[in-house]
Amino acid sequence: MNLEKYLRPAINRKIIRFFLENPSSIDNSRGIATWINENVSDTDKALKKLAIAKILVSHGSDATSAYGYTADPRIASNVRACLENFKD
Amino acid sequence: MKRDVGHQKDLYKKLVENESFKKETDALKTTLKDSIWWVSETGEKLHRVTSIEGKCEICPQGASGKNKCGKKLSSAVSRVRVAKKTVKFDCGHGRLGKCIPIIQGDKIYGYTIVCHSRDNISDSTISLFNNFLDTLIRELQKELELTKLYKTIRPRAIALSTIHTIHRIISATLDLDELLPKLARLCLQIFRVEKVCILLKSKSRKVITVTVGEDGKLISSYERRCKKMMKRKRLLSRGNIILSKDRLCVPLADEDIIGTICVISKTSKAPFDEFDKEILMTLSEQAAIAIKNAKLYKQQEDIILGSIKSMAAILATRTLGTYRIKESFVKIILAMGREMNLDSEELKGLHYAAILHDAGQIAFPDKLLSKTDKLTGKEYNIIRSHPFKSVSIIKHLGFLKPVIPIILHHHENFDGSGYPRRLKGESIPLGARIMAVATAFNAMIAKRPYRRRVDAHKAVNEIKKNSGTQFDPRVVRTFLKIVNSEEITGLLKKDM
Repeated sequence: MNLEKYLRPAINRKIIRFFLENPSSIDNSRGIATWINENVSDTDKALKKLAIAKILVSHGSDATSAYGYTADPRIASNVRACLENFKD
Repeated sequence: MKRDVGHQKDLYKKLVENESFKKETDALKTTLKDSIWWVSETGEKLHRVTSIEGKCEICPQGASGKNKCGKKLSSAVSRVRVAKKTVKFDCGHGRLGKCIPIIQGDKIYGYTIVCHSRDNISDSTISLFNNFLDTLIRELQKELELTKLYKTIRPRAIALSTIHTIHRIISATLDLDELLPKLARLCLQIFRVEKVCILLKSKSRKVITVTVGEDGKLISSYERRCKKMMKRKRLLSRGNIILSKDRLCVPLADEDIIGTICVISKTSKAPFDEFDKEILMTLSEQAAIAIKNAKLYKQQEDIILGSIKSMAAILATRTLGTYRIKESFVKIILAMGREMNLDSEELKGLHYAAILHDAGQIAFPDKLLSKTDKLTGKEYNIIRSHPFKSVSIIKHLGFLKPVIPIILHHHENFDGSGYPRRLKGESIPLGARIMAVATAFNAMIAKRPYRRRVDAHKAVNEIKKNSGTQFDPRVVRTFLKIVNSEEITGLLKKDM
């Protein structure tokens, strides 16, 4: 999987950094948008894409969708390594 | 005390790095045309002076020169520490200096030392500098407090938001079979553990055990008596909280103890702590409510289904046994519904429709039900009216409202030649199209007063033959897949 494609947008990286700092967090788009100081709509789109890439895990159904960080150590390690290529 | 020292160190660091402070001391340096030293305060051991910065051009080079200089400065600092005000001192090389405490209230954060100024620095200049320091220190203290608050409050706010989100997710789940694994997976995510186990008391002294492992995979889910599982029995009966290095268990309690949640071994190998216990206890309170709601919902569903089956049983007594709902018939319909991706509510509607679709036959005259020869036109019209009669029976039950379209249209034909409304194609509700295939098959293989039962194989062929005309081709394909399965074949043999 081309992780860099998923890490290229700045908002995606913000989301991932949030989860790296708060690995136990599970929250919906509105909550995460608050924590990373972005608008809800953009955050929602980014979260869905990261869930498709299995970097995030989706919980609940459409009405109450929430996201948590992957528990897969291989994906987590690859994401960390890829994140280092970005200067922010 | 330790926290205080740390805070003082942080404040001192911020102070000497502050641009305004640097400008002020630079201005003082420019005015006095000489070096300024500053000294940090370590806190507890007040007599120790650390990190003297700045260069002295007067002080002789070498160790002895520096020693003499250092001793004079230390002495000046000690005097200021006691007096808590500016003190003049002789630097030992014929020059006067001033040691100014960086102070707020009675807390000294450091010292500014103006060494051997050529002109005597006026007290008003010192006073001005001190006032400036006081204001700056207050501002920096506020900044530090805010940073500390942010670092303390933010993780707690995030944890609270997590709990709130989980509450919404689990409250929205009313199926107990779905709720327990979902809850276990959520606990796995929050605590970052290798395993989560939920024990739930069930009827007749059985225990439901659901265990979820890495990646959220369901390791086991079963219901059985826990005669030999002494540890589990104790856990469930006493409702103890267990907090150990690699295990945290809390009871699920409503009015009584209904179960236990256990989280086992953090993936980071870190031990469980009081904060984890607090989070899990909050979660377990919400989970207990969600489980109770799911159980109440199940009871309600069982009552509804029971009522419907009772209605069907009453109808069966009236319709001379022709209206007996077979297990295979219901299973075929539900299997077709699942295969065609109907959601749980739609499947429920289909289930109720399967039991009640011919309720209207109760209005048929006895002689019509037992007739063996061809129907007259009038008799055929009575038959064709039964969907309306079925709807008139069930319409008074609000929860059966979604079932009405299925019952009303289950005799429509795909090509529009059916009854009662001659609907065509996909304008016929999907549930009704599924029912049409299943009821036709069921009618063919059932015994009737007017003909012998048809062999299941022949009935299937008849369904195939009428695909596209009487029946929706997509539904027929699904039916063919279902009817040949081992489970359905076995049930058909049993029902026949």
